[in-house]
Amino acid sequence: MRVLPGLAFIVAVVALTELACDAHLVSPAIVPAPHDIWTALVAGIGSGELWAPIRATIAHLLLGWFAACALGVALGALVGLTAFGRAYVAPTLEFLRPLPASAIAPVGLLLIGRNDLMIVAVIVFGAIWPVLLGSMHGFATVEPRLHEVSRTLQLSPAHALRSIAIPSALPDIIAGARVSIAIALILAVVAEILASTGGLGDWLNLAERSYRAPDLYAGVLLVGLIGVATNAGLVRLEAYVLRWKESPAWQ
Amino acid sequence: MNARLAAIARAAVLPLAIFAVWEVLARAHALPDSLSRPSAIAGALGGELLDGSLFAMAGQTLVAATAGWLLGGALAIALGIAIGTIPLLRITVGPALELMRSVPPVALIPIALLAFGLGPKLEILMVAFAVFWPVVIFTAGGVRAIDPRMLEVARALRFSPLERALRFVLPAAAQRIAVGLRVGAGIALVVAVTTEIIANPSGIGYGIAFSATTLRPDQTFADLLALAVVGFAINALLVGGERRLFAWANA
Repeated sequence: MRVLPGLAFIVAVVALTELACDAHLVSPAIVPAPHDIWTALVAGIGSGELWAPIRATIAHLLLGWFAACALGVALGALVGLTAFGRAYVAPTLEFLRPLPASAIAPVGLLLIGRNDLMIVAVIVFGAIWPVLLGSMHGFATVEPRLHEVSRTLQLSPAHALRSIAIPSALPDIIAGARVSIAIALILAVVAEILASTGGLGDWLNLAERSYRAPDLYAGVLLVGLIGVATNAGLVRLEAYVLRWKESPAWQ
Repeated sequence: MNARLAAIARAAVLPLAIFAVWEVLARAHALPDSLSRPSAIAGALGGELLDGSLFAMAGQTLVAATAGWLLGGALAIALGIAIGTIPLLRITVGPALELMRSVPPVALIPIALLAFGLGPKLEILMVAFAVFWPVVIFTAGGVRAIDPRMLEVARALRFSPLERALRFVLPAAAQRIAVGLRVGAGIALVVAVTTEIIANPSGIGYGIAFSATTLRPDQTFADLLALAVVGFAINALLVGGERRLFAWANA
């Protein structure tokens, strides 16, 4: 019953907000009453009006994240496994990494225009870094003795990659992928606001501009829900993929 | 030293090659005009450096990011110490914090816009909100990791709770708090720039967004490059500062 106090606190905050709103202590244009937010959420989902933005955001998020992971792992392996990559390519990547990813969104607008491709491209560019650097680091720090083992066993390069390099880099890659999906959600919202072609970011922007505070809060709630769900999913995935790590075979 | 120079030279090869190919292709009209070309970007960068506009923009962004970082960081350290030392508070507030943390801060920009309007307040509070979460988590974690016997000593010596927090808990958890503040600083720059791109017309983020919508790609890329340098410098400064500050702990 350790969740009880936490639950009670959340319920208390919601109840106090409701009371403060009903007593007109706060402006409903800025902080709408929780029951108004609930009504907006139910109405939006009931009428189907909210489904399109939810679907669009999830599609942008997953598409961009998958592409970022695939590209990040491939590029990270190329850079991390070769001396050439580590000397010539890694520094440029290290320089670009602290660049705030959302700054790339206006460039996407400029080069690609207002459409879904631009949203996904911005997500890929911004969300690739944790996976790329994780994979780079993971592949660059494979235990040298394992490389020796693979030479002794005369494993083919493909076999060595599959049974030594990838499992050894996987923890870093998965950790990167978890950070990536959080960044991907942020960029999905930013890019959708700028592109205004649909998605929850666009929904938030329109609700704010037309002073529909309950709709705005309902949208924020949904974005938060997607954030919680994707994070929980990735934690599970991490536990599943790395279940062999409990008993390290070679240590 | 020579090895270091050689490493820097190798690091410069890839960016120079990209710029050269970019310049040649752009001059041959093989690229869209919206991609500009390195010589025009260098010209725009030089112009913005000479008339001081780049420094003004970077200054606005850095002031807002720093103010928000200090505000959010200070509040978070206070709450983090409280959560780390009082178990009842941790189980009560913990789940709510965990939920709030998964809401991407950018989704709240439209709400903040309704509440605060345009201006530095909007940007500073957005940054403070985003910085708050990592610092709370690192602080609470650092405080919980303190050897309980040390706190028993502090209690036996009859220090007041405030004195215990300032003279025992804060120094003991300082290293973890510093990690939280460093993570927060990276987030501060991202959120400041994102707020400028989406809403607040000031700073380097607005420079990027404005030049992109007014079709001045040379300026967009020049500002983006400047932002990358700022991000890189802040990151290097913080990592270096943290290492120097806590050399004693890692020795």
